[in-house]
Amino acid sequence: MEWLIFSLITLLSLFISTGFVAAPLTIGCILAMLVLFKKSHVLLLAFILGILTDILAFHTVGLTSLFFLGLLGAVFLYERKFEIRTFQFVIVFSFLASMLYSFLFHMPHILLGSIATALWASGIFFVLAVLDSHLPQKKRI
Amino acid sequence: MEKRTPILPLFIFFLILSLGVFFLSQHQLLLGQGLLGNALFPIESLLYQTSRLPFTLGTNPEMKRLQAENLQLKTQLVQMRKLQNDDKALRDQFETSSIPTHNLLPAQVIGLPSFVPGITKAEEMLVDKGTSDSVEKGQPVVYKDSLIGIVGKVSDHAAKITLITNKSFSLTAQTNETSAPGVVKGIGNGQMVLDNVVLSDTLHTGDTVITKGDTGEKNIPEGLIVGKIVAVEKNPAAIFQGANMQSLVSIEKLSEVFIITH
Repeated sequence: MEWLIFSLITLLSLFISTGFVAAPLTIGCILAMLVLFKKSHVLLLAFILGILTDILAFHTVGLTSLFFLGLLGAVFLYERKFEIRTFQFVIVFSFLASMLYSFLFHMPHILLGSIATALWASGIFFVLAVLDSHLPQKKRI
Repeated sequence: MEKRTPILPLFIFFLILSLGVFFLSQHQLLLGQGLLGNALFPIESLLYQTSRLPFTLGTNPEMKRLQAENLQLKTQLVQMRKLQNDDKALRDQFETSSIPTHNLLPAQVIGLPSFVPGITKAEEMLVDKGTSDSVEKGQPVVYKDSLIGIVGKVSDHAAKITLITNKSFSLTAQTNETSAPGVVKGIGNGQMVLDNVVLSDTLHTGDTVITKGDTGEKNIPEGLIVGKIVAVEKNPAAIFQGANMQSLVSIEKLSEVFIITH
């Protein structure tokens, strides 16, 4: 159930961020998932999402994957010393990552787009956290 | 006890994989990109068309009719001026600013990324035609006789249009009424300016600005409407004068545009 909801949110983020809103909302999905689930296949998700984003946004394919993986690498380093399962972390990190992404890919409305990404990320984090807390301990991801 | 998957080898694996994909893509060697695009762009188009419904329902039909009429009249005025100029110069061959229809490729709008859809102005537009339909980078995109933008990036079945209000957009143009030449530059957020107009030339509010069709812009035909002047900025101490411009077309409301192919 969680995976289904998460997949839908991710696909929605992908299409919204490439066709409607000039903000990298997919960053929010990757961060929220990494923070909550800490699974190695987040790397696969980041790779695939990056490829799809590049195709839909007319970037050179592979660039966004590299960015997302770099972002995950930074989170892996950060989590060794600090707690990352918090709203503060998701908001601040997604905001900074979105700013960097928007700057590198010449997106308009960098500040507004970053705020939107941070809010989107915290929203996904909240939804997934609520869903996760309602599952029995054994079934939690 | 839960088995932990080592992250570092996986991380390095995906990093190398991404670099490989990037390298292949740079050298146009990546296979399957077109297939993925074929699968994804129709979904994006469907979502975009669905998202437009609330905005279309709220549009006043009378306002829409008047806007279309205004655009048509402006187009006629441009054509009339052009005919007058042609007669005056005693040209023996009739030339028209209208684009031959066989050069126009209709394209459906499938995306218009802006910060708040329908409210803030977009600077790029996605359409459902690509290299498989003979679309090439640099081709102009029009709606009726108005220039909308230029093809910026192309994939097999889709293209990204750089709109005339985009910060990276610029082209040589002239006013229809006084033939004052200048450079139209997009300044973002749905706005553009006519710059580099010498002080001795006359600019009026309401003047229509049209493309000049210079040799450096061989893809863009002469006489396409770029917009109208809404405010003139003239400083006697400066070398050039400028003007703020506005497009005659509500780009956000378009569902179909035309690419001028060759």
